[in-house]
Amino acid sequence: MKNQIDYFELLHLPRSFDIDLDALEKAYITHQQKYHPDTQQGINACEKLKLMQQSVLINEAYQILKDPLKRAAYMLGCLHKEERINDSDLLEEIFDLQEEAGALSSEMDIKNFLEKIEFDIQKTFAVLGALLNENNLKDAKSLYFRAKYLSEIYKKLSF
Amino acid sequence: MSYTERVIDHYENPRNVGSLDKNDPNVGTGLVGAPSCGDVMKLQIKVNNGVIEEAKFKTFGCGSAIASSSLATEWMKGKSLDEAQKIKNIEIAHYLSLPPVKIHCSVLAEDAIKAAIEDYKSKNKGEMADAA
Repeated sequence: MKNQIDYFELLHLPRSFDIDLDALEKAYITHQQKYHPDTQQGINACEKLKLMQQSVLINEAYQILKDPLKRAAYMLGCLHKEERINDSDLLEEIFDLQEEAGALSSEMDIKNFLEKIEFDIQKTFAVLGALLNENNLKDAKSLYFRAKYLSEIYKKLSF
Repeated sequence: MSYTERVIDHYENPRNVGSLDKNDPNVGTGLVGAPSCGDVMKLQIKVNNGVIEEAKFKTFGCGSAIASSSLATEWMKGKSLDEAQKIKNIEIAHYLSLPPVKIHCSVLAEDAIKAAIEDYKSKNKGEMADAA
């Protein structure tokens, strides 16, 4: 993960997928107050610019770390990357789920389906988190793709 | 971002939507995806005497991904495997005037074309060698 900012370090948080969201929130507020250009008095333009850049990074770190999908992508080093896959097991499963989702008609069916997907997402995150914490990036990546697909299906259907 | 007329045309009237029997030895299936945008693309071809006589697709994804795969099936039909293999993503992107952020959708379509041809070839290894 060369040339990448360490968002955990930036917010002084331990590097782990199982982040404490309250601690993240606190760290964010503390750092934002410390670096926000408006909270500083009597600084020159150059110092102000530096603070602003730092403030932007802190914001970015917060946005990425609080979202489990973005956090996983960041830890895998594939944030903002458009990867293409041909993992047929995963793709066939997702394809079938998409077809199943498309055929749902009653509100009850949709609700049940969404619950099933939600449960699956949580289960996937649990295993994904363990793999990320062990630094098993190869297996973690394929689970990340799965979580990402499931979340897309969920988003589309819960509109 | 707005879609071009050709994208909208393929999106609203997709050509060759459907599926072919993937167990048929004359059918090649390509299944590819781009998880970052949630796209899954399935493209199938039916080959007769080295010529693609049927091409079907089903894509779950954005308008550009659907249009790219729809166009790919249209272009593949009637072509030999070698000709179809030469279809480039850049031609698809150019024809549909895809904006830079959507170029990857055409890349996915090219992946799907190649995967389908590859699948057909690997299923018919023996016969292809006989023919040669």
